[in-house]
Amino acid sequence: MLTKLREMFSGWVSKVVFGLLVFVFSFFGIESYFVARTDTFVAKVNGHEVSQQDFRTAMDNFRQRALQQSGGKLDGSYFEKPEVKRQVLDALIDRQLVLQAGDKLGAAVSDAQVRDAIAAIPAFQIDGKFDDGTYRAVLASQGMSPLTFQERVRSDLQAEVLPQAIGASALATDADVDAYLRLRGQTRDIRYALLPAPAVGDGAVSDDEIAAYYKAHPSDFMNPETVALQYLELNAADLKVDATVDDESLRKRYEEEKQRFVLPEQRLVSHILVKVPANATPAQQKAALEKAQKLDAEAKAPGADFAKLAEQYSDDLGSKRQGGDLGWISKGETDPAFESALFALQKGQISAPVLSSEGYHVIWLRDVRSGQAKPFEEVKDDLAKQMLDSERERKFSEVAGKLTDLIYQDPSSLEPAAKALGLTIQTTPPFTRSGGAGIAANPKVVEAAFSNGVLVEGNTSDPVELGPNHIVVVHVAKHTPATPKPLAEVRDVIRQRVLTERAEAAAKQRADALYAKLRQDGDLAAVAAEAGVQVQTAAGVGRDAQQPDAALVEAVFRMPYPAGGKPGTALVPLAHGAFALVALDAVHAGDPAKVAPAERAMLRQQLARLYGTEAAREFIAALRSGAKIDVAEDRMQ
Amino acid sequence: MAFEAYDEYEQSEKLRQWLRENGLSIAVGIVLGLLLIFGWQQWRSHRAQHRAEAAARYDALQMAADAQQTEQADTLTDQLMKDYADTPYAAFAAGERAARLIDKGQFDQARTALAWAEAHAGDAALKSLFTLRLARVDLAQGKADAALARLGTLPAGTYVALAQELRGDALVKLGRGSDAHAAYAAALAALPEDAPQRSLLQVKLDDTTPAGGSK
Repeated sequence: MLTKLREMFSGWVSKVVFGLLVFVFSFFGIESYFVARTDTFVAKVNGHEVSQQDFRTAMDNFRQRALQQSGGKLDGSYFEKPEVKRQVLDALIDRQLVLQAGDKLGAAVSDAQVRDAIAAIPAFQIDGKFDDGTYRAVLASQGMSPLTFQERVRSDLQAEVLPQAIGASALATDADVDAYLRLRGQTRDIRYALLPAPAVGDGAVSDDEIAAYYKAHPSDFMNPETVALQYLELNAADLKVDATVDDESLRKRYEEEKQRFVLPEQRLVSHILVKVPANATPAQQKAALEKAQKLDAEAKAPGADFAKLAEQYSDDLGSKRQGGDLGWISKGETDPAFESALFALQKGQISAPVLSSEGYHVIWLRDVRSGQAKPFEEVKDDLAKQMLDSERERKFSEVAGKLTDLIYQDPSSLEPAAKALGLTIQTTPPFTRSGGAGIAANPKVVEAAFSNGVLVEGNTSDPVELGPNHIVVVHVAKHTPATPKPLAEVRDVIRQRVLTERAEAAAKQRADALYAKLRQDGDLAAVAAEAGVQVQTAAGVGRDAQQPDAALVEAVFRMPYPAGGKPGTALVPLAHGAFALVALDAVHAGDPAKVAPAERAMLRQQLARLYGTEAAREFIAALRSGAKIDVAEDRMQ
Repeated sequence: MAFEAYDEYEQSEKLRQWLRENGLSIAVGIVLGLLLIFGWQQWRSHRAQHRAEAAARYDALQMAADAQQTEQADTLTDQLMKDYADTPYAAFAAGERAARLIDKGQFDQARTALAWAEAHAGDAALKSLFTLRLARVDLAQGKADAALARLGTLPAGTYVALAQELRGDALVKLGRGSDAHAAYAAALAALPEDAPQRSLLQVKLDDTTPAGGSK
């Protein structure tokens, strides 16, 4: 049979099979050369693709962080904005650039660094120590293998290598600090003349002017947008609880929770401490014990004054001044050795020296307040109230859960939920974004009322917490968009404004004319005389000075230096159309020598840190300008 | 089908003869190929290990520097500069040495360290960073002209904010207030909106307002 097979395969059958195989293998996969490959990357950085998956993960992380930082205040639509998405993508691209540069230059992360970084993550720790079981369990719950996670941590660390090294090697010199200090401590000598705010006249304002103003400033004359709400309120305090509180069940509960009503035994203690250093030699320990024994004997001697001894000899700085008094102590508050000695004493006794982690204690038990149970009758009312409260709470969370379910089922109306739970639909009067009365006084309610889901989509809000065990859900009853106020209503306001603007424009014109003169001649006295105002002087004005006027001081430090025998000059607008004409006579640099060396060192570090952070940023910018980066905005999903 | 025309004995003879003729080159080829693969892997793992060693030493250097153990920091820096000059850690270690020297006022030695880092940066962007720092040392030593000249050698568009601020500082030193003003304005324009040093830069800008007012 084998011969037969062989004959057959050496014949035409084999040729056909062979031919078929050749055909299949040579053309298999060839379609990929003809069909355009569909790209899936979001960005391509020097040939490395940032996948949509990477982008989504980064977006999720960003969302989580941003929500946490804003306390959940950010709207979901914020994360849909193209510029926000782009910001996240840019961070991914930067990361890729730094990784590539690091690889090219030879940056690396050692296994030990990866290990340390993982061990330092709190989620993998038990009692502050890394725990392998927890590590594996946490990873497993996120569907990740330890190897994948290690690689992720490694690449995170790797992306930090260069920026961190750039920051760590940043430098700032004494010259930089001096320059800063000279500027910070700079003072300026000025003269100035105040042109007072113009009086608003009572001139004629034509109807046309008023109409034009009204037209030009529509947003100034609007009735604000308002909303009126329907709401369901659920308050644990209003819930009827039908649990019966009879004596029997109360007594049962009392028995169960008896220790709650027992005061622990307390002991009034004084002590004398003879300190033993943590790494004491046997000789030191012995000396301390002898000293303690001697003090013990003295304290036990008839007529001895324990407090005085403590004051004189105790090494416990905290209690020494009070004659060794430690106050009332109950179990579980002090060192175990100290405690067992203390609770073995009878009232008035003094112990033999006791060794604790601090040293030898001589303990004097001054008084005992024994633990007593409160009788049932005394706590009965409290118990009854507690039982009702917990029953009420239970009922509240039950009803609140039902309410939430019902809203999710039908977010378009409050009726079904109200009917099913026996709640009444209440209403608020209309209120604006700045809130109103009743539940509308609560900012959380206002925020919910004007949120996208409630106001625009017309859904019922999620439960809003007004207090502990007190929630409302709201639904828009009536929404009034902002409407322009009628012209007649705002006519007087506009007239006043037009008059004010007129007066201020005139004042500005006058001030500009005076300033032109001042700039030309540098003679403030002459200009002030012409304006009929006084010249005032202020010498040694510092940057943060509030006198003569904070706005004036700020402007003074933006003025050009005096030059060629002429003062620097400026015209500074103040509030309500008032102006100051200013002449800068002298600039005094701050004295760097006056600053203490410690502060200088700190400033130099701060400057170095600023320069370092900026250098790292600009390093990445340089990498970016030399890289080939394709971004597929349409795939930023 | 020529091969099949021979009988079995002849076939094996043919094969042997072919092997005799080509066996050596096949063997050499296989060995060479294996060596290449093996060598490549060796080289890669050697390189990775070399880099990891440098990283570990650099880490130790950070810790020593944080703990003010200057001597140990210097030993580690020397080691990195001598044996790991092909990794970026050497240049950064030299840069950190320069920062320490500047704290002690030893500018010339700091300059040497920075020049070494500049020469061994291994990347244009990193090289410019050390050039920039050399210019800062120039200025600290009162050589404003030298600082300006050095800043002029930076490729356009690199470290704009830092370089322009430093240029402004040098120009102020040379009494060229309005040029400094323009430099500070350029630095401010290049800084991101949320950079903490904006306020300081603004003060420098305001302080150099030219007589005609800021443009």
